[in-house]
Amino acid sequence: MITLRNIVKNYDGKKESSRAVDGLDLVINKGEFVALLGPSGCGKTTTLMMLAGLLKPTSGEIYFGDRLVNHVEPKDRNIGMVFQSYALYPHLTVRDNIAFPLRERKMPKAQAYERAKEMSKIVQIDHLLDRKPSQLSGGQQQRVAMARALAKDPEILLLDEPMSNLDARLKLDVRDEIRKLQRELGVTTIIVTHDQEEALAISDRVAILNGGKIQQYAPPEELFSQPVNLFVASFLGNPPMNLIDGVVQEDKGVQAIVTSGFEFRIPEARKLEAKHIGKPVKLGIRPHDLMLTDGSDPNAIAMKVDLVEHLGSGKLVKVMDAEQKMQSTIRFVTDNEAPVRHGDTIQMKIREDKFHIFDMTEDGHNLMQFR
Amino acid sequence: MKTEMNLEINLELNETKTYKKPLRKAIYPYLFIAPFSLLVLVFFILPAIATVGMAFTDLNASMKPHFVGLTNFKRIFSDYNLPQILGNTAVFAVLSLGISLLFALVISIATQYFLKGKMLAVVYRILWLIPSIIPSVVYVTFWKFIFDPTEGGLINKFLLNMGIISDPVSWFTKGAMAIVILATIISTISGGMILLSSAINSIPEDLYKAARVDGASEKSVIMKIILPTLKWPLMYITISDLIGFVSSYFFIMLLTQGGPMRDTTTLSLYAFQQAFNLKYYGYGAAVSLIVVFISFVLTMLLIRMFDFNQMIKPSRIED
Ligand SMILES: Nc1ncnc2c1ncn2[C@@H]1O[C@H](COP(=O)(O)OP(=O)(O)OP(=O)(O)O)[C@@H](O)[C@H]1O
Ligand SMILES: [Mg+2]
Repeated sequence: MITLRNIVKNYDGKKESSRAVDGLDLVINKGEFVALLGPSGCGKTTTLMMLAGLLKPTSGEIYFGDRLVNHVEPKDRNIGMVFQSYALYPHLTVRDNIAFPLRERKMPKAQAYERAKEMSKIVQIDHLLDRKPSQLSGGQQQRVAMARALAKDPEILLLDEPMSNLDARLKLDVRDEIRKLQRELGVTTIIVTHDQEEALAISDRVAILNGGKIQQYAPPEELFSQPVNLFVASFLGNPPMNLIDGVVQEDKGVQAIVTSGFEFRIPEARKLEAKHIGKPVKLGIRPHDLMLTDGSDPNAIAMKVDLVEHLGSGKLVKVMDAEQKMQSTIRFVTDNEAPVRHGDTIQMKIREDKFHIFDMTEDGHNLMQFR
Repeated sequence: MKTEMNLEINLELNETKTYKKPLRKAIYPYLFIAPFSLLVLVFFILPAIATVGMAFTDLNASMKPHFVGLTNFKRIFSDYNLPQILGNTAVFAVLSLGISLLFALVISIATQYFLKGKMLAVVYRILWLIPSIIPSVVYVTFWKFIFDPTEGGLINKFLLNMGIISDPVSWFTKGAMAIVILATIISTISGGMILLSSAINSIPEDLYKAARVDGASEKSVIMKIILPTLKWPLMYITISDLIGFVSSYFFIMLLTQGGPMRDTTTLSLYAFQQAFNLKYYGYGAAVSLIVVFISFVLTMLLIRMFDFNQMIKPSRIED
């Protein structure tokens, strides 16, 4: 088990302005696959480097199990690491690259080579052992880096954007392979990525970082269905969530969000606490949670179609309210068969239970209580 | 049938011939290199030809050259000074090269790896640059002052004051070669240092990080990551410095004039002295051709040794 407790990292000693990681708490269970996901510059690599021991936290504690490892050298942490650039030793053969960490541990040459051969078989590069890294393709280099990281049988595997140099197709294959390998070996794995699809697909839990802080740490489906704040909600999902300004109002015991374009009635089961009535909020709806309906539906909202884009698997429709009083357009996704054309007026409704209401605080907390 | 084929071929030929570079475009490259070619011709090629020509004549102070065939070369091999001079040249070149290379290597690794990014490293390297940027004459005067045989010399003064010696030591009679080598290497180190430093600097930071994670010792980092990167810069420095040392005479001439006796006379200094002090232009030219020949052979040997073919073979990803 890995525990990060209130980790702070300033690159420049005491200077607050150089803060890259700002009070991080994270618990990773043994054998778990965890992704650190966030926009560029949010402190993912910095966090990983602290886990590796290549950087020391300014304050806070890192535990591997019960052992405080803040001042333990990288080589004594029993970690394997794959760098974004792969960092293969250019003048050593693939065999020597994989055997390098073992040789540095004074393992006899024959035994180290034997192990290198074994590892190369696992990642399917055993026919390339005599090549130099410069004679390999990107995908092959990635496998060598993986084999080198796993050769010393680490307890923890750290991956820094291991797939960002691969093409889209190869990414899918490598991603599945990494996941399979991790399952087989049961090694605790932490992957850094800014590709949300990759993070959600591969990990048991995802920690979403922003500004050096963890926004939410949960399994992928929970991040989607129950985002704790506006950042998580808008960061995840493609196309992004629709966010519409409105005010909470109550009339005869029925709550509704009143926006400049329409009024949305909150279902009885998900009523907000009384203190929110009269406050401005943001209504968040994912494009997949809006659907076409007909005028007879009491919840139908009339909208004017502004633009239709083809996604291949469906259509992305941009709509505006009929009088164009709303600031922003709303995006939603329909299937290819839906008769939607530019200029049409359509009726749509919001899927029951599939909406979020965020308050107007700086963090934009999600007001829906998930019980 | 046959004519048809011919026609086709003709058509093809015509098509390939249709594009012709406009004359103006074809001339441009030559226009650009013409002035430099002229300079090269006047200052390098003509003197070289003149030297080769002179080597086969008895040109001397009287300025009336006669063709004498291989006489000059025969004389070189029977010259009783030759063994000593060749020995001096070898000692001077090999020691200067070995020591300056070692120093350049140690300084580069120390400042670019162990002290990487520290202010101290920058200052230190700038200090080493000073000997190579001050004019040779000033530089030589400085060394003459340090090793001055009278009580006024820096070392003598120091040792006298410390009471280690009672009479001033005549350093130039005792260790002229050592002084010449010392002065030479201190002014050459910086060149190699700059090349090696920038080569080390080009090693990606991630490699060092990977090495730390893999538990690599400093020795492994140096032997398996840094030194292999330096192979080509080392080859370049070795070849260019060696040629420099074999053919240079300027420092030695200013410091010792090749003395005492012929203790510090190298082959190229000997050629200079024969040609310009004794005005045996023909003989001097012949000796200098020997210098060129030796440099050439050494270069070929070194290129062989460093496996030059591998360097020019393209690799898929630059390393
Ligand atoms: N060596 C450094 N010195 C000073 N500041 C740094 C250094 N490395 C990173 N930073 C800063 O720390 C912050 C976090 O950087 P980090 O590399 O952890 O981001 P990241 O989440 O990995 O981003 P990316 O997705 O672009 O790789 C950034 O604002 C960055 O400018
Ligand atoms: Mg990064």
